[in-house]
Amino acid sequence: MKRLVWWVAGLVYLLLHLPVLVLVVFSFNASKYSVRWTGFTLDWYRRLAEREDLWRGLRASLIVGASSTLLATVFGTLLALALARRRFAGRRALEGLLYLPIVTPEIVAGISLLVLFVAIGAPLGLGTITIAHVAFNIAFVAVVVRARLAGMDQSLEEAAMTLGADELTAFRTVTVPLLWPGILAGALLAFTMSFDDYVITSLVSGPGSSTLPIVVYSMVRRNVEPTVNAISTLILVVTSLVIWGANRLLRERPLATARG
Amino acid sequence: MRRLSTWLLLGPGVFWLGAFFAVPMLLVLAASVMPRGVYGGVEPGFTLEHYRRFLDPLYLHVLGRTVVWAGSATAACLLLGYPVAWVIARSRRHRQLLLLLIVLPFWTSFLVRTFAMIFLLRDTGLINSLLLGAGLIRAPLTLLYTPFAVLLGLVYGFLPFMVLPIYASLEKLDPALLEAAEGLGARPVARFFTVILPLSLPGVIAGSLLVFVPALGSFVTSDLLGGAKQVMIGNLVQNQFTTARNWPFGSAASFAVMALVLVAVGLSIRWRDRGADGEPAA
Amino acid sequence: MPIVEFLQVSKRFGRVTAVDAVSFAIQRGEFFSLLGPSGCGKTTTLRLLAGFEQPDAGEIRVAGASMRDTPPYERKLGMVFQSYALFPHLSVERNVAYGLERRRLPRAAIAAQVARALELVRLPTAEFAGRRPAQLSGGQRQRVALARALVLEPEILLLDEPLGAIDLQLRKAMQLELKQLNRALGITFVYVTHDQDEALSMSDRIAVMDRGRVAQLGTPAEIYESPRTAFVAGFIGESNLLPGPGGRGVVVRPERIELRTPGEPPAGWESLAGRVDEVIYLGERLRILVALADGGRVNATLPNQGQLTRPVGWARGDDVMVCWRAGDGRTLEDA
Repeated sequence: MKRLVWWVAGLVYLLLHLPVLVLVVFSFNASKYSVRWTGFTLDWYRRLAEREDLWRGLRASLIVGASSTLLATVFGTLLALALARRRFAGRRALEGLLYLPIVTPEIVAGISLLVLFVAIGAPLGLGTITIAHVAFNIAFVAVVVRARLAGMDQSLEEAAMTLGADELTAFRTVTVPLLWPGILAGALLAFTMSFDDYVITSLVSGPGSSTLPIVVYSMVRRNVEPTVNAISTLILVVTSLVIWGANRLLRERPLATARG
Repeated sequence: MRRLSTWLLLGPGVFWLGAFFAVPMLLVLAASVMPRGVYGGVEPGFTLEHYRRFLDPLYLHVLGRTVVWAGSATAACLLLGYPVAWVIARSRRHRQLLLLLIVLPFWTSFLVRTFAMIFLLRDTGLINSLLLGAGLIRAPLTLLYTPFAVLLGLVYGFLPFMVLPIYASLEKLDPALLEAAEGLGARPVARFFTVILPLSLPGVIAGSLLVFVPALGSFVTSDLLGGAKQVMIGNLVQNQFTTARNWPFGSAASFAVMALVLVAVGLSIRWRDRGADGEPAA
Repeated sequence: MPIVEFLQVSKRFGRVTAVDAVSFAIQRGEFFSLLGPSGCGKTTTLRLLAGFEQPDAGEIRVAGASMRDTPPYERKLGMVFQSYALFPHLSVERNVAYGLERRRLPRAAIAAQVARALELVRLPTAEFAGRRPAQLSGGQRQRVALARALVLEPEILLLDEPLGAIDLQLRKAMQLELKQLNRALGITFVYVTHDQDEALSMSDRIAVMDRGRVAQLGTPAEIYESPRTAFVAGFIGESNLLPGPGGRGVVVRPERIELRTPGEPPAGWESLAGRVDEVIYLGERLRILVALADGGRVNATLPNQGQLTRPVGWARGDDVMVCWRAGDGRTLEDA
């Protein structure tokens, strides 16, 4: 029985990564249509560099990603702090409602924002995309930071106060340093979700405001040349590096000194 | 005594969520009960015709198919993901690596991973080429644009979401419990069903939810891997807002999806609160 | 003038009244304990004094000044938390220096005071200054928490069950150290605990709390030997509720019970007939459980004279007479 479990697990790992590895390998294949290996080439990558739409898409994605991440992280963190440290009417309700954006399917979130923008006559472009990204990322950041705060010993801030620190100072010298990995993790999540988003973005973007996923999507749909493999590989490599880097950076710091 | 006003902390977030999440949802609700306008938008009025349209077998079929596929994908992810979670929870030296390898796909672009599936499954794709080359088949198998492809895509896309919560549950499992069970005469299979599974149930429920809900609202997978024929409710909704130009009906369809999602979430909360000890929530 | 005064202080949380019109005064330099079971309001009382909660009614005064509008960081009280609350991201040195840094003292002065504080709690600076809390044992963390509070030379030190997670031997040693610090530094200690042995051994005075009220306030001897209510009698040490004059119950401590062979009790003594149920060996004493004729149970404690050389004569099943001096029976106010 134990054997079976290990075999299944191993198979799953293999099947999880194999398709993508294959994708990467064939991005270097000289053959355009068939999957027969005809030689190593960097042609497809060269073609990528020539594509104006990809560069514009990348630029758009970075702009939207950076600004939406910044706003979502700040708003979400403040929200998490309020939920964790303050008592106010409707706190329980808010805590629960915060999960609504998270479970809402992207298609529903997307069309609802489209309806809003059309109703108020807002032109669709990078601005509306950013607004949309902030909207669904606030909840994610808030949940991640909230979880981190929950594991934090509240008496740490109180101890700081008995030692003469007022609320703001306690926040600055105790809460923030300990919260930082959580905030960073939330920001990373927000950026990744924004950078990778297709569904919501496609619905609230206008002509000329295509982000990278939108450009890639149309490339995938036509799925002809290995150029798609090339762009996929690049996205893969960059993402992996960022994740690996973040993993190293966010080494778990203890949030409270355990007793005994 | 408060230096940082609670309003300051709550204000921006609540405002943004209110204006750009709650209000839009209300607008969609309103649109779903208004008659269709000339250009596909809405006209003033009240009608339930869009919701009634759902009772048309055509649309019920789409709804049903969506639920069945999402459910099947969830079941498949559970069967495949549980062993993975188990292995990670058991491993000591390689745990970080194994976790990273499961987490990595989660962070990788969904589009890229879906494309990987296309690359494998299409008529000129890797699988067909290998089978043709080996002489096992004479004409390419139609793998892409089938329900099978969509299912595969869903499982492939959402598997990490199932593994992580189950792993988290299993990690907290006290090995002393298993030893106690063994001492009381339970064999491996019995130990699994009477100790491990019940105690990992919160993780199983969480993981199932994390797969089922996005699968219900899935759009990209069925669009790219299923083509025009394998329509899930997500595609239906998108269609109404683009080519079919029927915003009110699309809005109604959106609420149908939301209803399914909320039912799933509600059930999972009910099951989770039943507790690992099987007692109803206090 | 008392250094701390609670005047009819009440605190409610929703529908629960955690502290109910509590009044007491603490004298300067005293070791004052708040003792009671969990939920009795002792921690809330401490937190009210610290300023983390505001009273719904009544007034709290420190050195004569009302604390109504004073936030915790202006109250100049030291506090040792139940979880120690050491800052995990700071070294031992930085932890202890934290309060001094808030006061913007020069570096050199801070370093000197930190070293002195660590010495006071017997943690050699050289060895411990650079360590992180995660690298310390429970007992060491507790000392750092103490040093961190004491380095600011507060007039009052609040301690919230600081010895709970420490094992027995070390706990007894730390109790002694805390008492010595209290005497040597002249700081008023306000100590919260649910452990009655701890409270009895360390305190100058104890406030026994029950469901938000002070059941009795007095010296350890007063609390132990003259409990006023059934709750206090039952919470502190073992006690027997026995019939007394006028049909009311009296409380007799087990060590005040004598066991004799059935017969006439001496003059001035009360007695009840019973049978020995259990003889329990506790090392320095023996506990004899006696089943009374009327169905009750008596718990008697006899000093151990050496069971191997001069064994106590009682065994299970012996008929025995439980005796106590009439004067040793304390009438309760509510029994």
